[in-house]
Amino acid sequence: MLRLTKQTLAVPRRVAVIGVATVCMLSAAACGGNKSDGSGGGSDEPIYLGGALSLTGKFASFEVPAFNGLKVGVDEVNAKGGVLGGRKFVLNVEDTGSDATKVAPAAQKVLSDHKVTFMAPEVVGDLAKSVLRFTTQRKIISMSSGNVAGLDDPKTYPYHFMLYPAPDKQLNAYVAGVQQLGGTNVRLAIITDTESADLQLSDQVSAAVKAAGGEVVSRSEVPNDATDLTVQVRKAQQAGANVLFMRSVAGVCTAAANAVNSIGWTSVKLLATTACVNSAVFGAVPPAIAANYYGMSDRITTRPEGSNVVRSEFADYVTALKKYGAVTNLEVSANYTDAVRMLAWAIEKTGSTDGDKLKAALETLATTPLPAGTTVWTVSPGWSSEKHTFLGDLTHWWALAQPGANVDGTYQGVELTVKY
Amino acid sequence: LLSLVGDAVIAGLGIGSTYALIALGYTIILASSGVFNFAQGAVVMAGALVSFGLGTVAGWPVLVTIAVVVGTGCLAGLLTHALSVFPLVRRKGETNLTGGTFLTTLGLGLAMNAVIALAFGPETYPVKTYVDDRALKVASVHIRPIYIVMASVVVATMLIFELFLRRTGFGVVMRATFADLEGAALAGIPVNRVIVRAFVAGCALAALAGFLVAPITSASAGIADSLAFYGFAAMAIGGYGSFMGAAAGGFIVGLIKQVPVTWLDPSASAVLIYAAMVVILLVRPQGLFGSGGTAFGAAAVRDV
Repeated sequence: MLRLTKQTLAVPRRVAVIGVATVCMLSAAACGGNKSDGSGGGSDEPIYLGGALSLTGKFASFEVPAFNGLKVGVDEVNAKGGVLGGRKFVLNVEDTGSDATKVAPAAQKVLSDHKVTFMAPEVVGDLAKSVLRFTTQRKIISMSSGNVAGLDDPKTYPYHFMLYPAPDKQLNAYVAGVQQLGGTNVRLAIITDTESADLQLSDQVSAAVKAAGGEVVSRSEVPNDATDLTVQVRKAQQAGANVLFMRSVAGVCTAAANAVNSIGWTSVKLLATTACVNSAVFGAVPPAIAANYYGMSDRITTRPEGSNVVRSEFADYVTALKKYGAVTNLEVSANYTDAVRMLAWAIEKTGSTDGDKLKAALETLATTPLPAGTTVWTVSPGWSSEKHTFLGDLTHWWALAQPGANVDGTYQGVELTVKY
Repeated sequence: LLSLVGDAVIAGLGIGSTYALIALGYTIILASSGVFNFAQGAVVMAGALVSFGLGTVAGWPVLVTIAVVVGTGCLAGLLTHALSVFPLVRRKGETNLTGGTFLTTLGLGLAMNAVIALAFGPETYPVKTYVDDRALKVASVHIRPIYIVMASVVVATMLIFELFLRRTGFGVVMRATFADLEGAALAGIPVNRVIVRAFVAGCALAALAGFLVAPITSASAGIADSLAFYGFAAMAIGGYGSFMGAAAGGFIVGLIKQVPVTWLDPSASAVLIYAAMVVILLVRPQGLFGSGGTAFGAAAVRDV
């Protein structure tokens, strides 16, 4: 039997003393940590912004511009002395290589490296969801411009906010575009593919144009790998259309433009969906109809007619962006710079980096717009506790881009005034 | 309505000409070796993407672009043979390659598709047309110049190939191999060399088809399967092992794809092509212009 003596008791007592001291120190550290991470006043600890983005691979064409936009946003905030009295932003982004299987590990790595306050998930909506399950668990604010069903639902993703207009906001823009091109006597022909979202928007545009007194004279549904659309285009021509709306992918827009060109139909105006606004599609529009070809776009992506430089209000921003290479997608870059700017605004407003407090601040934007000049170009997004969809005032947001030179991610175009 | 049908017929013949070219590539390889090359669709896609890169992005002259596209096809043919046929011949001394190469060419085709998809992503790349595509109007029917070029290239290729087979020494050797692979080998003909060259020629035609059709389909990593299907349908309808059949089958498939669009939903065309294949293969298993004998390259007299 073990006999308890002073000696045998001495070691446990020492252990107990050391243990109590350790617990006290850890508690103190934890209390201090909470103070600096949660409210942060007076600390110079950095605030970490994370990202899991496709910096290489097939999605890099729009995720590298997003990354560059984040970098410019971080530079701007830090140049002004940071937030909360001197805390600087630090960006930590992992490349997912456009590989769906690498998204979750990349997000986990970023989240385990540091305590992250903000996360930029993939721009591609389906991939973004892999990141959002981690950020939701950890109550980390995230923003993205990818548009996929469900991402804007605060019940599923309470800490995620959308940076691009919701589909119902796009409808009004298309109707305004059709009316601008068709004038007072709109005779609309529609070529749409059979994707449900495209069919739905085509139906909505049809109904809205009819309600506004226009006519829908022809409607063709084509597969999104359609090759020759001469028959569909000729049907539209025979029906007397003066505007041809193409709601589909790049290949269908190109096939329709080729058909319009081949039959020499120079009186019709073509309006292409946002998916058809890029250098590749514009480069393939036959020169003979280029003046009649318009793509739905936005103000920042277009330059006034005859101008070979970006709009003057964005010139300084483009200069800052060029520090990180050629500007290939100005809109996406600006979206992500604005994400950083809005985060900084929310941190200053709440005096905290706590996810719940930041979320509450961002959800006030439906009733209390952002102060003027907070963002590069995004209007106050109108987020509320019910909707994290981009619902700001887009009256002067949209524009119609035209084929031509791509200057710093912009095309020549005309502005649209859209009624909501 | 008649003018719409006329437009649809022209479009069908134009697009069908590229299916004919793809089917011709299939047929050359099948007739010489008994191999049905499932990697052919990926080669067509590669031709379209090279055409986009050089012709549209880099702005290279058309003839130089064609030369590089055809060169790419030749290289793809060599690689296809080296990776999916040669190992079988070397290890097993196989002469009947049909069965084994089903899997090897299918696997290679899938791998090529995946690599191209990884490199180019899901985007569609519109390709600049290589001719001024303002249609000629003949009796209210629009004839697009690009279709004239496509059909002309196909007809010219058929004629050149026919002359090559009938008027040159190597053509005679190829014909002997096409007619009876084992007999040709016994007669001292280097059949493996013939097969390699058939792969090179077949894949070069596939890449050329990719170049020709790219301004119509655009270039993307997703076009391989549909073009491979239409090419296969052309060969099945026209007749296995028949060059004439490949051409006829291509035009027939093109017409079935485009003409019904005048009245029907475009998605119906794929159903109609399947239906035509089934009917023709039930009524005439060797296809419209194919000769009797087993389909996939067993010794048989072929229509050369």
